[in-house]
Amino acid sequence: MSVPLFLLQLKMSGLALSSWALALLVFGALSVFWTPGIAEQQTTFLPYPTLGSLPIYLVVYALIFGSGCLARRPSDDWLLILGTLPLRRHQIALGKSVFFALALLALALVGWVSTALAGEIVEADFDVGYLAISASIGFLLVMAVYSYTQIASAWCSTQGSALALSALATFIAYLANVIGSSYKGMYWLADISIFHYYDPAQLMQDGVVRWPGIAILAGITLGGHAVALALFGRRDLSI
Amino acid sequence: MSRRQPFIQVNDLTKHFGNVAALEGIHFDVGEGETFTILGASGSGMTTLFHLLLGLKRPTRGTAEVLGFDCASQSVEVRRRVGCVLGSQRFHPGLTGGEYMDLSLAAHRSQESRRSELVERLKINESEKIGNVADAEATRLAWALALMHNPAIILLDNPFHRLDESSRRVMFNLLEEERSKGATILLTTDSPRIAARHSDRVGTLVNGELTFVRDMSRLNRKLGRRLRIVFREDVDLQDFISHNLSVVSRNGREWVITLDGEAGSLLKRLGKFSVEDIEIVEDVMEDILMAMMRGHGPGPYV
Repeated sequence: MSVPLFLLQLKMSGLALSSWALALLVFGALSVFWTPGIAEQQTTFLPYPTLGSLPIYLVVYALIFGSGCLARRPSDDWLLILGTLPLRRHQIALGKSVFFALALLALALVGWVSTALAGEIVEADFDVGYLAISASIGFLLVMAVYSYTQIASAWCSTQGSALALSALATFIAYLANVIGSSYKGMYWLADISIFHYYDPAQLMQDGVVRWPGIAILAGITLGGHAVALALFGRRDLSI
Repeated sequence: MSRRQPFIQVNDLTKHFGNVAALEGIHFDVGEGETFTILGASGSGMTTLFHLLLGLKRPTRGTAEVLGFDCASQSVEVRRRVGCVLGSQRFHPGLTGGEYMDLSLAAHRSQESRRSELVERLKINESEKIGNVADAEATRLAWALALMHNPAIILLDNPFHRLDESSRRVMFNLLEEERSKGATILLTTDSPRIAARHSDRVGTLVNGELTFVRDMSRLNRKLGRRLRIVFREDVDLQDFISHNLSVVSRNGREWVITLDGEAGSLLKRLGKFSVEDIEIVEDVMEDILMAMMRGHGPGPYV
C-alpha cells in the first residue's frame, strides 16, 4: 500500500516540487555568482544570506507542506478519499513524512549540486564536502521544523491555523537564535532555538560535525513525529 | 421482511461538537440483508452518523458496531468490510478515476472482479482527471469505489445528491440489484420518495434524535395501496365497494380508493366497468414520511 500512496502523493505534489527544485537550482547558482569577491574572500563566504539561507527556504516548504498534511485543506484534500479506505491513520501520516523526507533530500541535493557546480565555474575555493555536511545538517533542521508543524497539523482542524501556529513557533525560534547570539547575557535563548544547531558559516570553515546538535535536531524530529501520530490517531477527521 | 442477525448495531450513540449535539442517544440495528433508511433534513446529523460508523470521528458517548467490530477502536476492520458513498465526498481534481480505483483496490486487497462492469455501467472515464468531469460523474465514481470490492455492507449517505435524472435511474437500479442480492444497506436521504421506494425499514432523524422507526411492509399493509381510477361511465358506490376496498374521495368519474390485500378482487370488480385510466398514488407514504421527518409524527394512519 505504501507505494501507491507514495505515487499518489508524488503526483499531487509534483508541480510544487518541480517549482521548488527549479527555484533552488537557480538560487544555489546565483548565491555563488552574486557573492562579491568570492574567489578572494573565502572566509566571508557563505554566512546567511548566501548558501546558509538555502535551508531556510526549505523551512518555508516544510511549513507549507507540513501544515496541510493532517489538517483539512480548503481543496485537494488527501484525506477525502483515504478516510473511507481501510488504511490506518499512521499509514497516512507516515506516508506523508516519508514523501516529505525524500522530497527534501532531492531538493537539498539540487541546491548542493547547483552551488557546487557554480563554485566550480567561478573557481571558488570552498570544500564541496563541507558543503555536503552543511546541507545534511540543514536537512535535519528542516525535518525538525516539519515535525512540529506536523503536531500543529494534527492538532488544528484547518491548514491555515496549523500554518499560522507553526510559522509563529518558527519565527520565535529564529528570533531567539538571533537575539541569543547577539547578546552574551542572553545566550540561553540561542540554546533553546533549533536554529542554533545549524551554523553553515562555521561548517563551511571547519567542516566539524557537532554531534550534540545533531542529536537534538534528530530527537526533535522523532519526538515530534511520535506526538503528531498520537494526536492524529485520536482526533476527529473532517472530510 | 423477517429480522435477521444484526450486521450494524448502534447503542446510545451520541456526538457533541462543543455545546451542539449532532447526535443524541441514537439506538438502532440493521439486520443481515436489510435496507434501513434514515430520513432526515440536511443538518439533522446523518453525515455525523456515517463519520462515526467509519471511525472518522469519535463518539461522545455510546457505541457503534459493524459485523461485531467496534467502529471507534477497530475502524480499519470496519472500513475493510463496507463500501460507502458519502454525499460530502470530494475528490482531488488532479487525479483520475482510474487512479482512485487502483488505490481503492490496493487498500482493500481486492480483485478487480467488478471494476470493468461498473466502469461500463456507470460510464466512468478512467483516464479523465476529476477536475474535468461533471459532479454527476464524480458521484458515479464514488458509487463504483463503494461497490467494486463486493462489500458485505453498503453505507450510502445521501448518495443521489448531485446526480442528474438519468444517473439517478442507473443508481436506483444498482441499489435494487444490491438489495435483491442480499446486501445489507444503511441509506440516508432527505427524500421521502427514495425512502418509501427503496427501504425495508425507515427511521427519521430529527435534530440528532432518531424517531419513528417503521417497518415499510407493515406500514404499507396498514396504509393499503392508494389508486386513482377514472371511469368512462357513472359508477354506483354500492356496486363497487368491497371488504378490502375503501373510497377516499370521488370527483365525478375520478375516484381515489385504498386497496388493502391482494389486487385480484379489485381487478374482478373493475372488469365490470369501462375504465379510462388507473394509477397508483404514492403520495400517502411520502406525506407520512415527510411529516415524520419534520418531527410531526406519522399522523392518524400509523
